[in-house]
Amino acid sequence: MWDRPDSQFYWSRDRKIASRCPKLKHLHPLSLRSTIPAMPFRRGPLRSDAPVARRRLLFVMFAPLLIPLGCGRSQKSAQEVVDLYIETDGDFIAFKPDTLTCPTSALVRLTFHHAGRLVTVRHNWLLTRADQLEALSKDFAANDGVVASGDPRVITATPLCDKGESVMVQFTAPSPGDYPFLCSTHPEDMRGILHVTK
Amino acid sequence: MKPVKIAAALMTIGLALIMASTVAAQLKSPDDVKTGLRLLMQVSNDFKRQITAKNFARVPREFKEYTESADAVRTAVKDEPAAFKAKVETKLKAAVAAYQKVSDMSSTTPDADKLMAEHAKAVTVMNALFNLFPPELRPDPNAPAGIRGAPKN
Repeated sequence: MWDRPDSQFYWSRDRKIASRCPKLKHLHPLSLRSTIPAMPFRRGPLRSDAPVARRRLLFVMFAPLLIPLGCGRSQKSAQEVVDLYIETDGDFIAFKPDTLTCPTSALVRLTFHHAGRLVTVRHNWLLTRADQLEALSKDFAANDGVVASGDPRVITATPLCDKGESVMVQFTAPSPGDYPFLCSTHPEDMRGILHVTK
Repeated sequence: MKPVKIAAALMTIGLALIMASTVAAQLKSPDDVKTGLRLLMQVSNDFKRQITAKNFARVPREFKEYTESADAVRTAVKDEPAAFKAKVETKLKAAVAAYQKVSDMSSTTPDADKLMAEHAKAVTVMNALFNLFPPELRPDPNAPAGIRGAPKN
């Protein structure tokens, strides 16, 4: 198979190289490197300055470590993407549908459409936690539906939307459970539930 | 009560229902009428909610929505006979005027009790408008509002 199948020849050459190289001087004679013969080149002479066996050894040692990293990257890019659509019930202050479902950890791309055409009123779609719903509603009723940036009670929210328009928001679905959503300008009437499944 | 009287009463009720459904069937755009009336009711409830929460600054905005809802009713009946349109317009103007009074009072007299009393009068005027239409097109004033989509027990 090899042009020079006499591995013993390479053994001796490796030892000579090791004796000239100060970095390899302290290498234990029974170390792994010393037991693995250098791979002979298919054609051409062996390069005396290239410790091929050590490179192979390093590759063999580090390859298993790199494989999971690569797999991890591919898993991240393969995050499940879920497209959800919700709109207002025409000009009425209600969501249609009023329940949505998505799996946990999925990348949710939600489109909210204001399907009104008669009354000039703005709506949005805001996701919160069940235990925060009433406090948030109370605040929205008092502050004209203004969503404060960085409010920890708000998981995600679309901007306010005029009639006939659509807005979109993208977020990672939280842990499994039921999460209420609402319109900040009509917090008491315009509500629904996002079911996050396992 | 004699059986004859009971039968007569039942017949009267039946006839009234048949006549009402006939009127509804005669309307050119019953769905649009239903939507317009429901919007008036919805905005009226919002008036009440803002007054109760003492968000007086929001009341004029509700009035703007009310006038838009009134326009929706006008559009819905535009193809109806002139006599019916005239009746609707009269009642509609009265309702809009009543709600405008509430809106104006929210700026000049921001008193929740007085505003609620005025709102109750406006609701009466609005109900007179609703009575022009068959019952199946009128909005349900007792329609519950709450968490929609909540798991049902």
